Amino acid sequence: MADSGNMSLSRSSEDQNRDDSSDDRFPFDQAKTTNMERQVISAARNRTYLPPDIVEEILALLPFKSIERFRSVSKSLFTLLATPKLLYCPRGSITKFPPYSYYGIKRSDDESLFTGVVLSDYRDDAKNRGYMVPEFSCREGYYNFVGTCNGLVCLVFYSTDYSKWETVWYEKKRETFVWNPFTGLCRKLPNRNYYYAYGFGYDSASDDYKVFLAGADGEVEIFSLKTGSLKKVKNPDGEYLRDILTLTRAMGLFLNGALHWAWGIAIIIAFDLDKEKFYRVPNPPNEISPDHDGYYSVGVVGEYLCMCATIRQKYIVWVMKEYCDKASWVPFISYTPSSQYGKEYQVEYVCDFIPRSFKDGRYMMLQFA
Amino acid sequence: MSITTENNEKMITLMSSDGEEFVVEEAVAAQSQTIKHLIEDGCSTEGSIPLPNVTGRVLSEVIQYCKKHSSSDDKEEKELEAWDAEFVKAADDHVALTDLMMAANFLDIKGLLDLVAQTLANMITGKSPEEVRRMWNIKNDFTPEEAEKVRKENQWAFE
Repeated sequence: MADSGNMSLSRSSEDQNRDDSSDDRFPFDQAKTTNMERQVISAARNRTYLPPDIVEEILALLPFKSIERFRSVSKSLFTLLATPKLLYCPRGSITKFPPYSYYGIKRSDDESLFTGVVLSDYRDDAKNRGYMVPEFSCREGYYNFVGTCNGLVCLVFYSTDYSKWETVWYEKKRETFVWNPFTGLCRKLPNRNYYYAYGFGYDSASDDYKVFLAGADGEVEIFSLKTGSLKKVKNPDGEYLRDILTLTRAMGLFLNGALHWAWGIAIIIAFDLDKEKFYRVPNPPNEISPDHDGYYSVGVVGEYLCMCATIRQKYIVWVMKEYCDKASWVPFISYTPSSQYGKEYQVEYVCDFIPRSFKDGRYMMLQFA
Repeated sequence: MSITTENNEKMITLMSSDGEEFVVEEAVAAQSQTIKHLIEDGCSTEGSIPLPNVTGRVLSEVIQYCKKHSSSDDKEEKELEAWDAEFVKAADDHVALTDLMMAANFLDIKGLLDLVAQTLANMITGKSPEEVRRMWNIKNDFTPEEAEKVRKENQWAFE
């Protein structure tokens, strides 16, 4: 009673009336009110008008089809619905997306035709769902994953006609596209060059999804999903670019607003999607990678960047706890496969597919090349 | 103004835009992040908290919601869901829900905001653009040519 008693010393009603008449105490002074509050205040005065923030809040809950249809309501709604958040990842369709999923490619029984993408939930096989990719002009071919981000998938389709197998790499029929398996929305990229290195990610600075494309001629191009256009990056760092172009697995890994490639002996090259610049990520210290000879790749464990190596038939994974802090690299897994079968493979890709809240241990998925 | 009740619960007074006063337990009012911050800043100790853009009618509904949600714990989730459904059904009028949504947004009550947003979203799902214009009082400012073009681009969504 004593502590709240102080607070509750109530004043006479006359005092209160006097206070209420003065505007100084009005708690929502102009400097403190946020934009949204001001909009709400003006909206409250004019009930016929819904502020854009609120409209967006409601629209984000709609199924994709409704969103597409409502673009023809008015110009302001058209503009609002063109923001990537609503256009590509409305909450209504994405909330059921399991947090640690993996996209696998499904083929027809004879392995020749690509039919769709399987969205897997490794905690529950029954939840696996297949999604069909949109029809393309030529369906004979194969797909490569560029990457996935917030449920969107970026794929490259290489058209193949097995009778002309040796000409595949020079085949012009090849398409890059960004696709939302939940909604069927698909954006095909302009086909300007022959690209060797790809990457796909989200740039929060511009609220935009970007596709990184690097051609053999030393050009880097960025496709913006927001504007739907392809633009050249001015003066990309030629040295890093040359390194990336020598990779066989040239799909950049998206994390922290940047794409990452492993190159050479434990070297990690990154490309910042906002600044559109290359940089080096410090590699694991030599003490934990004494043997320089091996096969290296980058992956994600939880929210951390990790480096995987296959050194003398042993799989080793390091994790960088603090992004770009060299001192924060820690050894995570070291494992020698027992079966003969495993020894022929190199770790190609690592991902963590069990939520961190699982207390009875964690599982890693290692994909082999 | 703050007073305490017999069971030592601290009470605060909220004042709507039309001057109506509501005396509620602090724990109930603090479901609103906006009010919670005002209390932390000491605004509640010097009289009632004015809420200049929430009318008494809407505020009483908001308080009803906050009371229910501060007194229920997680075990009663099912019951709470049913209560929520009844609550928005009672306000089953587009304008009333919009008012409630704006109040929830201003008062920063996440649960209520999500609940009303979902209700409003459900109301327009499957509606035609004409119906949405009418419901939300939006003027069609496309020229007939532009309208035709947009409609063509999204033809699949009309099927």
